[in-house]
Amino acid sequence: MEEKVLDVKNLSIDFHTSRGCVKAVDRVSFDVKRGEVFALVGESGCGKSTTAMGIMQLIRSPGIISGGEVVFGGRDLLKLSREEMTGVRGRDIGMIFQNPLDSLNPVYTIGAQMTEGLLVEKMDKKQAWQVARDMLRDVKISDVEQRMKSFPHEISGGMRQRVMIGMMLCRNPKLLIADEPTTALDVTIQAGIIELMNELRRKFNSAVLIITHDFGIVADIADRVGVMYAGNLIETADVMTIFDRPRHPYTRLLMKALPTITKDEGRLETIKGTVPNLAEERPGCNFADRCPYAMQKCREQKPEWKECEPGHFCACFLEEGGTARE
Amino acid sequence: MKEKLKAIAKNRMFLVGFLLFFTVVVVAIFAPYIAPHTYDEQNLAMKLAAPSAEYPFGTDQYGRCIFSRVIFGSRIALNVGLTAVIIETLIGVTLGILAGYYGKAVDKVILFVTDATWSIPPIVLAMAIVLMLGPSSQNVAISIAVVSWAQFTKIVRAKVQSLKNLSYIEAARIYGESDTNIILRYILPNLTSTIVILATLALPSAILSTTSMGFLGLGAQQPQPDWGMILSEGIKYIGKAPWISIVPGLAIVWTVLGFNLAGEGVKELLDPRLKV
Amino acid sequence: MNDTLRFIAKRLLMGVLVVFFVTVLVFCIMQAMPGDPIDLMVDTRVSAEKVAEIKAQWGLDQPPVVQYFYWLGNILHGDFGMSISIKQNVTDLILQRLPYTLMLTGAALMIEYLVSIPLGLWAAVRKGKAVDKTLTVTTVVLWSMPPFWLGVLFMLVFSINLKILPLSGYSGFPSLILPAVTLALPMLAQIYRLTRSEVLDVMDEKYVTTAYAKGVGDKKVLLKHVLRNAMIPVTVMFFLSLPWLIGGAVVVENVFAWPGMGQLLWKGIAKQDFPIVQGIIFVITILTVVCNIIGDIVAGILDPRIRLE
Repeated sequence: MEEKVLDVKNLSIDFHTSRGCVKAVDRVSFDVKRGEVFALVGESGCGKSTTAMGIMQLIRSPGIISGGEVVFGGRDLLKLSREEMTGVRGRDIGMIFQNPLDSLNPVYTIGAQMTEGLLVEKMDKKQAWQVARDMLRDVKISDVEQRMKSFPHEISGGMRQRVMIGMMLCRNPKLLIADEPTTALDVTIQAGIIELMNELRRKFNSAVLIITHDFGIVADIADRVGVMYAGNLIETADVMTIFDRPRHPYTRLLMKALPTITKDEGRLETIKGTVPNLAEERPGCNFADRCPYAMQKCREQKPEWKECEPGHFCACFLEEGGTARE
Repeated sequence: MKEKLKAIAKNRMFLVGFLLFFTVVVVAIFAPYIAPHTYDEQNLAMKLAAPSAEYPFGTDQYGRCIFSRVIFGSRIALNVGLTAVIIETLIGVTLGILAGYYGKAVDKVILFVTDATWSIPPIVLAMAIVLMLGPSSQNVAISIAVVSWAQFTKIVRAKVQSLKNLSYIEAARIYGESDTNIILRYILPNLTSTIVILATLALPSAILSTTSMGFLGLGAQQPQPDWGMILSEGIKYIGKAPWISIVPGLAIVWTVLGFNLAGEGVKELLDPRLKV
Repeated sequence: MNDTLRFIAKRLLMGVLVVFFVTVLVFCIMQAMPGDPIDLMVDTRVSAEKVAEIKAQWGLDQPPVVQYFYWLGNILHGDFGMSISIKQNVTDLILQRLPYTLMLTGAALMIEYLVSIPLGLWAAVRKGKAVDKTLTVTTVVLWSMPPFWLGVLFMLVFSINLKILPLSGYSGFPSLILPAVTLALPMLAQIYRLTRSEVLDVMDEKYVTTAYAKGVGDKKVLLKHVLRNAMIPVTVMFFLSLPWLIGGAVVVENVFAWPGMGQLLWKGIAKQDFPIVQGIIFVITILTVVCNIIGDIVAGILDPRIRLE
């Protein structure tokens, strides 16, 4: 069995609002293996970004991690002290975010921000600047000397995201979390960023947890995929399996909603209904109201997380009865 | 709106504010029925008398009842403050709309005048204006208005600039509506909540400025019971009769605090994100 | 570098224009004043010819526009004319008073910022906790207090009852304490509120999350990222608030009989001594304009984005 870099077990994150407790992430379990790219997919608001922030323990009030384990390098990160967790961030796990303009501090130069993480390790300033320069070259930024002295607003969005990637990789973390790294960018630039990430993860042998709603990116970069819906992880499998034979009705409907070049169906299918209000406690499956195959049982009980074929997990009653084949 | 009202009703700060505000208004309206004496009734036998049953907050150097003077003083403070705010709203909003709507040279000139007015300390300019017009509560209101409209202009201008680009206002212009029509029928109604917030927040500072002018002797003249003036005259007797200065000060804090808190409540209700 | 210079030059030009505008404004106000300044200056027994002669000598028989440039020319030479009531050179009078006003406002500014910024930061970090609520209520109350009344209360407590600080006038450092604190407190409330809300806004920024994700510790994130960015508007406020502070000083100086420009201005107004009033307004305007320009430049240094526009 391959080594697990990250093992998330039953992670739950609640948001306490005036309208009650919202279970943004509800008992989510998955793992990321060494050198692997794991993609967490789902529509906006399904809890995928919250899961990533939970792993980094960057959840802000009114959100709290209410249960579970995040095992990384043999330790449960949730049991670490604030200082210990600060030591894990950046050194062991790096993270890049959706909007690269907001993610860089406007008042510091690229060089100052690139080296900040390195200087935390008491690295010599000159050496830190050298590492940062080399890293900028690795992320394919031209005119490095000039760029080190630039401010974030002076460079383009695509370049900023490259800087972010470089900034997070320059301490050579074992895991890089990328939260919608291309969503805010132009389509033409997206491909370049994905290509860069693919190249770098081979070079640095980092595992990557990528959060996205875009199956195109999943196909381009991911080895394995987890699909989330309304705070639950509903299916995980390797990328070929997910595209080839999705099990969960939601995943299947998502696949049908994808535009493809080969199928010329005229119009795309949509999933009827809306995401349920997570502040309400419901006994059954969160997808039951929208599911075309929903049974009485689906509204009464939560489906269990089961391995339906080697390496393919799914939470759906249809799997148990074996009636889900179309 | 209903939910917001409920949230505000639960906020103790706002509640206290509205309560303070309400009492001041009631006191000002019913002053003759609340005050035990008139504001200018002298009792030379009771000069600088300490608080007693007859004179709850003591008397001043002419034996006038401080309590009654302070009660009647609320009328001057509210009157002058309100007049000042009405005038400054008119000036500030008009200039703000003109600058925001017409842009270009009009905008540049108005913006320059606004910035320039902002570089003279308001109270200093107000003093000079009162010097020109002569000291009276009316002139204090005018001078306060003249020095404080800039805030309105800046915020209204920014708001109009963003409104102007809304598609339905642009459509009205392409359709050939006159500028006056567009401003009155489309832009002004959209500014209502901003103007209401600005005016409510301007009131307490106008009242504070009024009392400052009174303190400097530039406001209402004797025997009118101006809070600032009563306070400043009291300083001469601070050792013997501290109540002369303390009581009008309390009245000022009561009023200004009430209006400030109530204003915050109004802002929370109408547009919590407006930066003032 | 070129951008920075152009930026500074633009602000300077704007400042000169503002000062020019203020001189016109002040001149107009003085022109509109009731009564002829000469009548105030000379005895009623002086003959009409003599008055006309004096007027010609002062240029007062000229049309207002000519008079204005005459007056402006004098001001540019540092000559504000003679005071009517004190019969002294206004420039000298102002120069005597100016250091005291600067001392008072400087001390107040220091108190304001040294107290309000740490408090604002503290309240923002403990948002919603008891500290935050107490501070917020306290500052709203402070903000609603007239400075002259605060001054009177301080006098009562510290000078009359406890007898630990001088009552009024200037007699060395102890006499500075009460006026400076009185002047600082209401403004302090405002700076506190601004600091608190700016810190809270910046804490929500994505780059703060980035800093945490990089492995930067709590304290460093708070100081290097949050406070550093929150300080931009607070610093602009520092310079923009000066007119209010100087205005407040006029009132506070009169409470404590502080020998500064504010007291002189008040005397000038009470005695309709227009050369004094003109001179002081001019000096105060120059002070605020200079401070605003410095404020703009400092903001440009603190925020690299401003320099581009």
